[in-house]
Amino acid sequence: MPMILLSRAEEIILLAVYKLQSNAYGVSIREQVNDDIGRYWPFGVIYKTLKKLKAKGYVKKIASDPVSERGGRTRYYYKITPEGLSALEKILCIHSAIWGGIKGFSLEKKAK
Amino acid sequence: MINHKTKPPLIPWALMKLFLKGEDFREFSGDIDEIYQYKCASGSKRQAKLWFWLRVLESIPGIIRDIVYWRSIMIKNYLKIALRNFQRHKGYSFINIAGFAIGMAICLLILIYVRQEQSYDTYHQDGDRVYRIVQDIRTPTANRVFAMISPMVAPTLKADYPQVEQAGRALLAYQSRLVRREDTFFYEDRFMYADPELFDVLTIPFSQGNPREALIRPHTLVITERMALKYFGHENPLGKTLEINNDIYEITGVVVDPPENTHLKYDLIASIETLRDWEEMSNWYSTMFYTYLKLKPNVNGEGFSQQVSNLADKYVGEQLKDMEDSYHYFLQPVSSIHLHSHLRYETEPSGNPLYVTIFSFVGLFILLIACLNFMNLSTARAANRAREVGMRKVVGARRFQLIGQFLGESLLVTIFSLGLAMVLAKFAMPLINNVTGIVLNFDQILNPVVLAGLIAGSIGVGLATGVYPALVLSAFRPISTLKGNLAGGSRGFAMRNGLVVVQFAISVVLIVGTLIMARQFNYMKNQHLGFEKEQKLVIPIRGGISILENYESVKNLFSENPFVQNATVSSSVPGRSVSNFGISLVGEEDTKNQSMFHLYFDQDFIPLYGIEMAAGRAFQKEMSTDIAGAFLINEAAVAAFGWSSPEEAIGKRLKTGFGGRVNPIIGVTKNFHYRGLQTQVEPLVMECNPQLFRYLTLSVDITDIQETMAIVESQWKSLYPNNPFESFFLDTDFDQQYRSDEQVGRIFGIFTVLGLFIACLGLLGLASFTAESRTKEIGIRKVLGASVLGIAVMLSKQFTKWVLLANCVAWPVAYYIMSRWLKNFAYRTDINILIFVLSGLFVLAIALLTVSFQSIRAATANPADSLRYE
Repeated sequence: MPMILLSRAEEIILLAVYKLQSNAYGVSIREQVNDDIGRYWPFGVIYKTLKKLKAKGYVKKIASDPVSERGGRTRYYYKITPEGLSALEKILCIHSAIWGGIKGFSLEKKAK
Repeated sequence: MINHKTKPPLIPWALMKLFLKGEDFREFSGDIDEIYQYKCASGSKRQAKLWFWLRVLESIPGIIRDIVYWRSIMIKNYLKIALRNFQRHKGYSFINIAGFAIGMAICLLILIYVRQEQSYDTYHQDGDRVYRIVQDIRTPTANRVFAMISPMVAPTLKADYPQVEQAGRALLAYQSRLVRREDTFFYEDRFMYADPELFDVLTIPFSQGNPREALIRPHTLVITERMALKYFGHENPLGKTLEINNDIYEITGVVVDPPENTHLKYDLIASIETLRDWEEMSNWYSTMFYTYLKLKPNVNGEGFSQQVSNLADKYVGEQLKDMEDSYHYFLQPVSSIHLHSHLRYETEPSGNPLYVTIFSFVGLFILLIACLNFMNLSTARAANRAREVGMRKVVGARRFQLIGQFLGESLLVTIFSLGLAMVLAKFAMPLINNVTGIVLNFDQILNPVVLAGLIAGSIGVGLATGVYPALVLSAFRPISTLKGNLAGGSRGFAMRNGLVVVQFAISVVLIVGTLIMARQFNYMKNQHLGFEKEQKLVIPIRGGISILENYESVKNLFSENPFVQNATVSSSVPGRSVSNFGISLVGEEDTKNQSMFHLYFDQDFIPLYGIEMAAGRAFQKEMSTDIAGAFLINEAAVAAFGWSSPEEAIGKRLKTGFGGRVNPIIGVTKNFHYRGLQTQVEPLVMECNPQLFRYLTLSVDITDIQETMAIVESQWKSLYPNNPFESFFLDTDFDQQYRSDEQVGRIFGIFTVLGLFIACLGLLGLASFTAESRTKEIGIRKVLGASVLGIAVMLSKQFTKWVLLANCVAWPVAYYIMSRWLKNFAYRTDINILIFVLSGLFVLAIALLTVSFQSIRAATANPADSLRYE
C-alpha cells in the first residue's frame, strides 16, 4: 500500500484528536493545539484540516446529543479511526527514521 | 452557569453564514459561540466581541480556500463523467459538437459580414457631423435623385451657410487613366479630382506631405501608399512626377490606402484646380461632383438638411422655373451611404440592408437548428444518464447541483465548439472569399470586445440550450431510475417532435430561397435583352489615345482578322455606364424638358448588336448627314414624349447635349436592356457622334479563341505600341452587374446546405436513438413475422409525418420572404409552386434517407441478439 504522508498540520491535529480521546471537538482541539505548539490556530485552518483527515478516513465525525453549554445545540466530536492510528504509527516511524541518523545535534548546541 | 442570552455580534455571524452551509456552519458557530459565551461571562463584553470578530476574520481565508478545494474536486468529477460520456457515445457527441461548431462558424462569418457592412465610413473623425449633399431633380415628367451634384454647391454652402464648417468636392473619373512613370505604366481605375478641403471633411490621413497645401495648385497629385510603392518603389515620391493620360502631375502628398469599408475609394487624387478652365465648373445644371460637408458642432443635421433644400434657387431659381424644373438638396450622414443610399450614380454598388437582415436571420436559424439538435439528443438520451442521476441523488446530490452539472456539460460543448468554430471560420474564409468574391476580414472579430461578446454569447447559447435537458434530467426520481423502469425516450415526446418540425421548416425555407434565387439569376442571364450579348469582344479605347479621326480605318484593320466578322465603335456598351443629358423637343407648343440617357455609336452598331428597329431606319454609311446630324430613340423614349406610336416620332426634332444640337429623329429602336435587369428600360437617345467613341466592339468567332485573341492583340500593338491591350467579353461583363446579388445567392446556397446537414445530423441521432430504444419491440415483431420492409416503414413513418408538417409551416414563410426579395428586380421570374413542392420532396427524401439508414439497420438485426437479455 502506498504510503500517504500527512502534512504537518494534519499530523498536529490528528495527534491532538488522539490525545483528547473522547473529548475532541472544535474548542478542545484548538486548546490542545495551543498547548502543543504555543499558539491558537484560526478555526478555519482547524476545520479545513479536520475535513481532509475525514476524507482520508483517519477521523470520524460524530454529532453529539444537544449540549446544555451550547444552548441546546449539537457538538461535533471527532474520533480517531484505526486507519488514523496506523497513520500515526507510520509518522512516528518516519520521524525516528529521518531524525535517527543524526548525531551531535543536541540540546547542548541550542543552549549555547 | 453561562448566560445564553448574550447574542454574538451580527456581522461576523452573517459572514459565517455566508461562507458556510449546513453542518459546517453549525459546527463552527457552535464552537466559537461556546467560547464567546464563556468569555462574556468571565470578562469584558467588548473584549469578547473583539475576539469573536478576529476569530471569524482570520478563519475566512482558510474557509474560502477550503470551499474552492472541495468544489474543484466535485468539478473534476463532473468533468470526468462528462468526458467519459463523450467518449462512450462518440457518435452523439460528434453530432452535438459538429453541429454546434458548423452553426457557430456560420454565425461568425455572418457576424463578420454584418459588422463589415455596418462599419462603412464609420471611421471618419467627427463622423456624426460629416454629410454628403445630394440632389433631387424634379422635372414635369420625372423625379430623380442624384448622388452627384453641381460643382457650384460646395462654394455656395461655404459662402451662404455659417453652419457649415467645411465642404469639399470629388469628381471621379469615368474611365481608368493610363498612368506612366518612365517605363512603368498601368491603367488605374480609382482616379479622382478633389478639393483640398475634402481632407478636412473626410478622414484621409497623410503619411507624407501637407494636406492643406497638397492640392492647391493645378496638376498636383496625392497618391496612396500602394501607388507610391507601385510606381516609386522605396524612393520618396514627393516632388516627383507621374504622367497621367499625357498630362504631367507633380506629387505633393502620400496618403494611407483607403480602407475596404468606405464608399469613396481612391488611389490617385488630383487637384480640382487642374479643371479650372473647364466651363462645367460653373454650371448649376451639371451633375458630376460628389460633395461632402462637415457641419459645425451642435448643428442639427436634419434641420440643416431642410434649410439647404432650395439653395440653388437664389442663383438659378428663375431659369429652373422657366424649365419647370426644381432642385431640392438634402444631406445624408456619411456612414449611412453604403447601406441606405441607393441613388443614381453612387460611387459603387450600395450594400443591401435586406441582405444584412436576411443573413442575420439565416445565421440565427442555423444556430437554432444546432441548438435544437443538442436539446433533442440530450433529452432523448436521458435514459442513459438516469442511473447516474439516481446514484447522485441517493448519495445526496441536490437538484440544483445536478442542474449545475448538466448546464456545465452543455457549456463545455458550446465553448469547445466555439473554439472549433473559430478554426473552421478561419479556414473557410479564403474559400468564401473565393466562391463569392466578398472579401471578409477575419481581424474583424479579433478584438477583445468582440471576443468577449462571442464567449458571452456562446455561454448564453450553452445555458439556453442546456436548461431544458438539465431540468428534465435532474427531475428523475432516484427510486424509479434505480429500479430500472424508466419510461425512457417517451419523455417529452411532443417537445422533441416540435423541435424536429422547426428544424426542417427552417431547412425548407432556406432551400426554397436558394432555388428561387438561382431561378432569378438564371432568368436574368437568359432573358432576351433586345440585343445579342454573345461573341462580342470589347476593347476600351482609353489612356490618352483616341479614334475620333480614324475609327473607320481602325475598324477595317481589325476586320481583316478572319475570325472577326464585324466591328463597331460606340461611347459605351450595354452594361457600362451611359451619360445622361437634358433633352427637349423642338417646334411644339408643349415642349417639355427631360433628361435622358445618351448612347453614341456608328452605323455598324445596330446590325452588330442585333437590335431591332420599330420604325424608321438606322444610321447608314451612305448618308453623310447621319454623322452628328440625326437621332434614334428607343420605344421607352417614344412613350416618355407621349407619342402613341413609334412612327409618330419620325421627323420630330430634338435639342440635346452641351451646346444644344438640334437634329431630327430618323428611327425608333425596340427597347433593349442597355442596363441590367434590375431596372426598367429607360428612354434612350442615340446619335452617331464620333466625338465620344470610346469602345470598339468586335463580333468574333469563338471557335478558336486563343488564335483570335492573338491576332487582335498583335493588331492592337501595331496601332498603339505604347498602350497595353485589354479587352473583355460583353456577356461576362454584362453579367457582372448581377454579381453582388449572385454572391449573396451563392453564400445563401452554401449556408442552406450546411443548415440541412446539421438538421440531418440531428435527425440521424434521433432516429438511431429511437431504433435503439425500440430494439426489443423490433425483435418481438420480427419473431412474430414482421418483414424487414414493414419494420423500416414503421420506423420511418413518424419522421415523415413531421417533415411533411414542417413543409406546411415553411411554405407561406418562404413565399413571403422571397416575394419581398424579388421586388428588388424590375424583371423577375414568377414564384412557381413547383419549387415549393420540389424543395419539400427533396427535404423529405434527404430526411428519409437519413432515417432509413438507421431503420434498415435496426430492422435487419437478428432478433435473437436483441431478445437474449430479456
